[in-house]
Amino acid sequence: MTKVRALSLTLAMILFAVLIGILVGHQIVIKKGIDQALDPNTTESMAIEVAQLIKDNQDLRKKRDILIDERDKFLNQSTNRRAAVEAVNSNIDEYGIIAGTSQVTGKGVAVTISHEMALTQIIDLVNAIRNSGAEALSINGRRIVASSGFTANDLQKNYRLEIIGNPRVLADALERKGGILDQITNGQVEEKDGLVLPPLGA
Amino acid sequence: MGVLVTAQVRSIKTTRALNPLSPYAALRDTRISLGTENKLLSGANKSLSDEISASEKELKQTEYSNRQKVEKSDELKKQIGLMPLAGEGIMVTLADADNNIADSNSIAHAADMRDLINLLWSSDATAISINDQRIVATTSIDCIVNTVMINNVRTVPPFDIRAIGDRRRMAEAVNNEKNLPDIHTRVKNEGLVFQVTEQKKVEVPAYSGTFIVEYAK
Repeated sequence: MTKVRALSLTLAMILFAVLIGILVGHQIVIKKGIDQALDPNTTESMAIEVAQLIKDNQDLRKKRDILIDERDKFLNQSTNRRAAVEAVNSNIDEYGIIAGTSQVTGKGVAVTISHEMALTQIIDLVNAIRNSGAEALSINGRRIVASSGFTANDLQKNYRLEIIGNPRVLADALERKGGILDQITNGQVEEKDGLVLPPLGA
Repeated sequence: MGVLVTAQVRSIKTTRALNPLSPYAALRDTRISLGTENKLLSGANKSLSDEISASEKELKQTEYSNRQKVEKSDELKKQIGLMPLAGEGIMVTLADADNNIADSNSIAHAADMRDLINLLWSSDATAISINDQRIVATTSIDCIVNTVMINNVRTVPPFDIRAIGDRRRMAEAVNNEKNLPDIHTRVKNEGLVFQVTEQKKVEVPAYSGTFIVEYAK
């Protein structure tokens, strides 16, 4: 009889311990989920990521249409070689713009900054301009490409940046409150038609 | 036991919607579906690009002038990062300090990588990648709360930075404390991880994103 009672007591204690374990575990999971959902950093980070993904997917769709058109030109090259050659020429033009090997024209914005910037400010400014969708950029008449590096020798008192891209988007991104010009320096932004940027080394 | 049961009952009884939960869940679901679409579109564009490359090879076999054009296009593709490259160079590992308590000075920042990439270009690097993301004309490196966004791809430490070029020159430049004072000070004082190794062969992947040229002619 005593043995049966002891066994029952042990079983009850085991059950009790398991129940506590489940409850504690459940509470931790709920708390973690709520903390994550309520953390403004998590939501903010996700919102920025979603915005970037929306833009990236728009670009990917545009590119897909361009590539389909180009692929079709090549598919018919046995009957229409000229179309295939035109596609290659068009790519050479586009790659030349990106590489900076050719002069480029287009609308965009001009930014004037009338004081000296620190090297890190120039680096951050160029980074923000790239993030705003710039297609071509020059600083004081020097074409800036992927491999352009800046040194202390580039620091001066006045800067004129010419940026080709969607003028409205560029101006909004640069001028918005808390944007890059607000953060690192003061500058005047002006929307422009017919900007002409020189090729590399000109 | 009573406390636990009460907590359990209270969490179950919370039936009214908590305002921040809704945007969080909506964003999470949107991110998943956009991420899936992004992968599909990237895959489709990669297949189309491969088809076009094969057709370009075919065009190369025709006239001499066509071959020259395709070769020029290939050369430009190399320059702008649309082809993988390999050659001598350096590898840099940048990571948060291995401390229990992290603070702003002991963690790797997007700004550190911007400074480093600028120095590598100034030291005549010919190609650079960070965690397999090729640095191209449109690349921005931005901090998004506690992650870093490169080419619209979220990435986290440790950051594996690879640069092709004169390995001795680049290594000397990045190891020179005058060139990257902030990073070197934090390495000494806070234990920030910054390791540089010269390599006979470094491989840098091609840019997997999209160039859109709409306004520049």
